[in-house]
Amino acid sequence: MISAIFLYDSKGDILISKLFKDDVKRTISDVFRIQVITQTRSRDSSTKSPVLTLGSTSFIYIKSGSVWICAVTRSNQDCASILEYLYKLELLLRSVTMDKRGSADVLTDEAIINNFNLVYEIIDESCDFGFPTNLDLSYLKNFISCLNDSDKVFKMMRKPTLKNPELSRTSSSLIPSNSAGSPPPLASNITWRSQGLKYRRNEIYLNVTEKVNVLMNQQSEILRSYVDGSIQMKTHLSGMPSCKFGFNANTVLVNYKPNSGDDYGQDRGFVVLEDSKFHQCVDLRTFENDRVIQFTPPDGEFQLMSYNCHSSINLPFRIYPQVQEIGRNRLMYKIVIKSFFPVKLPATNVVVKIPTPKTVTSKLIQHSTGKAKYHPEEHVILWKFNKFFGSQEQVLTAEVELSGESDELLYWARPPITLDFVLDMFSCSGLTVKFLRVQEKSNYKTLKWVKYTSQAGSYEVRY
Amino acid sequence: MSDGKLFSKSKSAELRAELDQAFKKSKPITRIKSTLRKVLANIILNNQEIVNLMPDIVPLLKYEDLEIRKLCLEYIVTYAPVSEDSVNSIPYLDRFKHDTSPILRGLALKTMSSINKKEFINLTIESLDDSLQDPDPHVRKIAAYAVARLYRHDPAATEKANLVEKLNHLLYDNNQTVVSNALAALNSVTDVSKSLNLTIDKSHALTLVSLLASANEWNQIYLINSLMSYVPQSEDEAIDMVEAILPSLQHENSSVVLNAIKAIIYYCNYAKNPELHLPVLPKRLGTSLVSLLSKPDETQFVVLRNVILLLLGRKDLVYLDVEMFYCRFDDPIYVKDTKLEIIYLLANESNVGSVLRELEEYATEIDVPMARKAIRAFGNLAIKLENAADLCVEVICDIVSHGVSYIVQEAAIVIKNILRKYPGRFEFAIEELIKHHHLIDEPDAKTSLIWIVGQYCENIADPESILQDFISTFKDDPEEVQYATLTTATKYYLKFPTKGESIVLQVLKWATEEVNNPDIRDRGYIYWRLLSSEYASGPNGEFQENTKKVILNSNPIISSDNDNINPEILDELELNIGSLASIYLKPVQSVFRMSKRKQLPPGPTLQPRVRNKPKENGEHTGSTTSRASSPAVDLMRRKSYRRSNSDNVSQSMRSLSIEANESPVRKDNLAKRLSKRASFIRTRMSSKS
Repeated sequence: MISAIFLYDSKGDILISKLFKDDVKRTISDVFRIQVITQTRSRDSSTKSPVLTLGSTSFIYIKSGSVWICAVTRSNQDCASILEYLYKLELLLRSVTMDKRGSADVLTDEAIINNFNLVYEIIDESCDFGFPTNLDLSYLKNFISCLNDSDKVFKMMRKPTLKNPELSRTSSSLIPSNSAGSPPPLASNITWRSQGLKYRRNEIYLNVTEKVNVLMNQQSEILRSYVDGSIQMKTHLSGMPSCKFGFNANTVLVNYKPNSGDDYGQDRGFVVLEDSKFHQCVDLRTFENDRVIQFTPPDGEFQLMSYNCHSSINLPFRIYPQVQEIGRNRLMYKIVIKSFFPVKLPATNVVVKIPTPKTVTSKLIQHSTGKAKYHPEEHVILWKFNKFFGSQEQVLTAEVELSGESDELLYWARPPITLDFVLDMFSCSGLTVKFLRVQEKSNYKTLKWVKYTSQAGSYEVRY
Repeated sequence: MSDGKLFSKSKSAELRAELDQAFKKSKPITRIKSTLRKVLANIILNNQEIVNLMPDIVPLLKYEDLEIRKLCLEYIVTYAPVSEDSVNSIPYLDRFKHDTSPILRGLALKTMSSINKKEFINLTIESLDDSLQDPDPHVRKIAAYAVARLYRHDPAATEKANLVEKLNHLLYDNNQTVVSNALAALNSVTDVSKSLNLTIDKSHALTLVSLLASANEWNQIYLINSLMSYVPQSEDEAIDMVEAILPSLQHENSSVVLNAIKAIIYYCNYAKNPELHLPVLPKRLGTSLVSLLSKPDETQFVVLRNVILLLLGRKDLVYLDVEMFYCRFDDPIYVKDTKLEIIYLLANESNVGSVLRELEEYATEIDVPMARKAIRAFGNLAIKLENAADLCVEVICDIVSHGVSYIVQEAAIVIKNILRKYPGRFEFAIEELIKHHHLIDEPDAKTSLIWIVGQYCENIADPESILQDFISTFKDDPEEVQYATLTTATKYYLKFPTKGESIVLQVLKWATEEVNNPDIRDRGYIYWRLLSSEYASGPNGEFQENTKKVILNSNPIISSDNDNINPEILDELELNIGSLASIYLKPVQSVFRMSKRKQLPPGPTLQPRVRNKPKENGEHTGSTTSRASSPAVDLMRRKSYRRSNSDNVSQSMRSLSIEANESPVRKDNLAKRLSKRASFIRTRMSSKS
């Protein structure tokens, strides 16, 4: 499968190199640096393709911040698996190399160098002979001493103090074979959860996050709209709990009945979740037969499921744009934004991004509330609201003048107006979680928290 | 503590000194560890010089510390091939493999099997017998991969020691992880072996399916993959297998989903009309593909390429909504490209309105390559869907009227194709295009426009001045433009003898006297001879009657049926869904020469592949052409459209040369009309013959 993994910084210097097979040499890293990294640096052109094949050697790569992660393979290999591995690896590295300043969205070369030993071991243990075997932290802990010998990692994962005698023993003992009590890593078939976890307080957090993607035209007609939803969980549970999970009664998880999507879609009030995808811990066979979501969760944070919803979406905002060209070098904007959600809910971080041509010489902006400012470096007018309550309507008018001789207006691409927002306790798809049961032998009580968030995915309006 | 300061290149002498220092302390462990981390940094940085440390590193294995041992073994694996001293580690490895800790046993096994040296290979073969039956599943898992490694080093010895057979036994292990990883290891063995292939029987296939429920994501991939080693014995069985795999379509891991699709498509080969048995199938395949579009760009790209593959070969098995493939503003170019390709493939009579509106949006976008591709898509759609042609042409004309250079160029190529597909319907488009002829300077566009001028000079207001414009650069033009110019000048002369005479003479003169390319020169001569032949005029003295028959013949109508690729190639690509070959959509061997050929194994119910039916309404009159063998669909389609112009010329060339043979030109029979001006040619020809 994978012959080698290389991590580079933005200049193309090696941060990590790990060979899994001897069919490539370490020097092959130069080929990628020359063919891809320097090429991309010299012209700022975007990447042509995420895969480069030279002869029978392929380089499959992703980028996280300024760090390149590249897998080298020979012959025809499963590209989807390799990409999936690279992304999961990136996620894992991000969480374990985090420094005290808090969570990073991307990898930094500094963080990798400061933890190069750990990163190397993670790559080594998560793959055997280039075949990805397991990328779960709970599994890797069994093999990687540095993951145990400092509590650092766990504090950074924002976990409460672990009452785990087994773990502390393995870390303190120099010879792992001494820890006879530690369960052999593969004893149970559940590879994503270690046994013998204990918490004083058993808690489970559930976050329903929905990204609304809309494309509207000038008349505010919806050309396309869908919700990318996901349910994130954070669990602090003792033992080997079995969880069950259910939605409100009018939720339908389709793609098991023929054409059901259309039937329910017509009938408003039904929440139709299309093609839900589940974390590996969910028993897909039980779901297929009984439509019950049943799982033994991994410890800590993970994404339980993701889903799409295409019909009867409650759009929280609509934008009515009027953009007129006056003569060859003037533009008139009138942008109306209306909110369609309960009056008492505030949406936060609401930003309307209104593109302008590049050669703006003067501008005049008037608006009802919020703050509006022209940003010449990005060629946009940003209209921001700290809070935007439901059932409101706001108007912005603007007039921009372009430099006289420019004929830019003729060729202006008119990039769409985009909208950003975060709206808590609102679900655009109408989905609600009805019950969540946790069962464990010791029959403890569990605290459960549910939170809903809707936010803008790509919320675009053409004009 | 941060390791950052350890990350630098060092000399082996320095490291050795550090180790010596460490030994003097009462508790050397921490010191040794930090030195070994420096060694690891040097491994990462590919410092060959530290190979000299081998005699210092090997003895460190005596410390009973896992981290030290791990780092030492990593060092030994890396430098063993170039160091003789590495064999000194064998006694340690021999001891470790009997250690009580499964982790250490596994580590020892992993190390010895990774080194391609006689001594280590022998040790591995010796150890594997026990290790494959180790009580701990972790060790058994590593043993499985050790067999795969060994097979790469020394296939003969591996087979001789019967290790592949023993690896097979692991498939019946009671631990699911061991089974899955053994399958992955076997897969790696069969990939390089010429003779070995994995086959499983029905009960085993069912066992593997039942294991899926509890497997982690990677193990699911290996399990699903190996399900393709079972050949169903009846249609019902094939359908049952498809049903068993269906739940995996809902996995969050894109690779699990793609592999599940691969296995489902594989089993669909063994049942007649699987979509009738399982009506949910197309919709489920479709939605699971679409939902993968929320993944990162790179993954999306792989998924989209496979969507193309499925649309080419299995249109009936996937139900997809074209709107899901509309481009996002910030998609990277490779995703946009592929989406455009899919939009083209999915467009049909019912959704064409929405598709065209979307394409128009792209065509007017600032992103130049994207706008060009969108226009090309318009042209392709016009040819694919007859009912949409009117709309397409209308939109193209509208966009052309803005007079943006790259759009006009692209439109010229597209309009040429449309004119050829629907002769007599869209001549009005020429007028709009001709208005902007001065913007055209790219060879492809120029070739197209010159062809249009020659073919439709009756419809054009002032063809002479346009031709004058174009021929002024004749000598510097690329070959294909020169061909087109020659043909067009000749056509124009045939249609308007008085106006065209000076142009044709000029062009023929250049072609025969100043161009160095022998093909162009020959073409020039042939036109000369045709025009000056005594048989050129008709029996009753009609002007150039016979020459017109040769040159002004109508072109064969083009069609879009070259969407098809060779079924054998499709078959093989479908067995490789999600792989690198699926990205390139080319026969696997043409990209990866060494890869093993995959074929559908024969089974009692193996269905012959049904070709993509000629689209229901029968809007395609043309039969499928031999273009079907062109593997790289998308590229070929564009190219073949582009090339069709010159194809046509060379076709008329062929018929022309035949006729020319039939009426051999005798030098004493040169036509009177042209003879005076053509005297230079005559001298040349006589000197030739």
